[in-house]
Amino acid sequence: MYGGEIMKSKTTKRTFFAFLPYECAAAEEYLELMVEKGWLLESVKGDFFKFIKTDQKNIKYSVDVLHKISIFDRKDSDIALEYREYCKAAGWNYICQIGKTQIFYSQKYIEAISIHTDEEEKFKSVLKASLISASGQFFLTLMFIFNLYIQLFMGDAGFVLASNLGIFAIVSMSTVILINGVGFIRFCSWIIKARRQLKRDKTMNYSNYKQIRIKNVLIKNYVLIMLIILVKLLVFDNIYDRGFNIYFLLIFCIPIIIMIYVKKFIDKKRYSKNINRGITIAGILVSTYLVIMLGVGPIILSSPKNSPNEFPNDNARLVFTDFGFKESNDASPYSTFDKSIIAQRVDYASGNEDEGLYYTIFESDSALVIKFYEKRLLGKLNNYGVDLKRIGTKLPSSIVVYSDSDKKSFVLVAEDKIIDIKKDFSGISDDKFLNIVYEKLLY
Amino acid sequence: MARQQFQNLTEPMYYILMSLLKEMCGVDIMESIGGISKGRVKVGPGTLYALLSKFEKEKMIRETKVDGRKRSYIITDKGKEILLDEYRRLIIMASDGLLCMEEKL
Repeated sequence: MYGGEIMKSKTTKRTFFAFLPYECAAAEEYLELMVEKGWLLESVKGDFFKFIKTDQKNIKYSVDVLHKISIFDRKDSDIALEYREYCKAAGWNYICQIGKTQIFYSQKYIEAISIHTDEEEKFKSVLKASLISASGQFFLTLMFIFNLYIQLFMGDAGFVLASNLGIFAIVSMSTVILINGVGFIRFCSWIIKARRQLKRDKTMNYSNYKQIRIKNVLIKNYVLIMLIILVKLLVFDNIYDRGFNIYFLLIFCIPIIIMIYVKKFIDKKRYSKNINRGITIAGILVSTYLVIMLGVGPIILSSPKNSPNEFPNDNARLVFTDFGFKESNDASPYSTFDKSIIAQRVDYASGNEDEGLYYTIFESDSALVIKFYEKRLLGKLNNYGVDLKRIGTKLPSSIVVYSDSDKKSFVLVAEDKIIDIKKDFSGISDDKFLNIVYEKLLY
Repeated sequence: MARQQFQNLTEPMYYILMSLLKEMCGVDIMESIGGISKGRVKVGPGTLYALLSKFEKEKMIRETKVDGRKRSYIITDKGKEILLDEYRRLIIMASDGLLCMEEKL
């Protein structure tokens, strides 16, 4: 089996094969291997190839890049049609177009003139066409590195680590960085090799089918696994209700549906490139607006299942009244609980007009996660101006305690738990306070 | 800039410009090159398309008419000058070669 087979009948077969313009030779190799197996390319939609059964063996493919086609051009633009006529005169029959790439075949390939007879010109064309994809890979890598940095190092890493969706986002972002980073490095190394080879003997290799095949198998399986996990998390995770999760999933399908219709509309009409550009930008703006209006609003307004309404929470074993204070009648204690496969987190806040108690318990069996969270939490609090210093206490030596100079804010670090607690009251000694915290939350 | 870029024309460039001494469309240029070189030089459609765009941008050729999707071109004075320079250069090279190599080969 070549490429990733998706569907197969006796007369047709659909496969997944993703390639970039500079990998055009690998695509040719793939198509010719398919012909040997008796499958002739009929059409391509995105990265999905459709083949029909054939008995012909004497077929040569040319996967050609025409960089002059803009991403805003409709599918069969005048430029593409004119170019195809040139190719037809040289013995190449057009099959289909994928972005800037056009696929041709020739039955009498010995007589057909190669589409590119000047390697230097071909290199320039392929390079220009590949630059958009490569720039996209570069910016995606940078964007996700930045996003990952914000999530883990600038924000509250506890929220991310204690949520399955948060961990899913971190894993997804990391793999996107890996895939696109590797893709961009491969592109740069191709440029260097191609230039060197052109100078040496005026011929060059564009790519290797085996590499592309491995890449495609990895991407296909990765996307499938991530989709299954995403659906599982959104539909079956119990943080929000199922209806909300399905709604959330559908909201993110809106841009995909809108952009598919925009592309179909552009392909159908014969507008100029500038008008097509305007239509595409309008489509992006409408998609963004709808996602924000229909998605972000309800997410902000909705609350996780374990909301204040469900208090008392079994996980918040330490409460304001444990210190002998009375809670305000008009405000119930606030408590939330999040749990992921690697950590769990409890947030608690309660008080009255004059006093208050606020804490976060972060718990994990992984020493690495605890160490990471400890570092991030101390860094974050220090950035907020809470000058935490390690203090000596009467608690067991395995509990490390940090406190600010006012002795209002404390961080207690145990082997599998970190407690970030703030007391907004007085009349109780620090040792007594820490002792109650230890007995209720750490003992 | 254009002069520098096209100082030494490649074989496909030379034959395309020669073909365009007479007005013709892209498909005819491919046939014309085959005729002029007696089948020795073949210029692929991809290479031809890229070079025509480049020549047009550098004003070495100009579009004369558009008939449907068929666009015809002809060489400009600037193109002729560059072609002639290349022709003279090749003559000099050939005559130098003749002098140096005639008795030795």
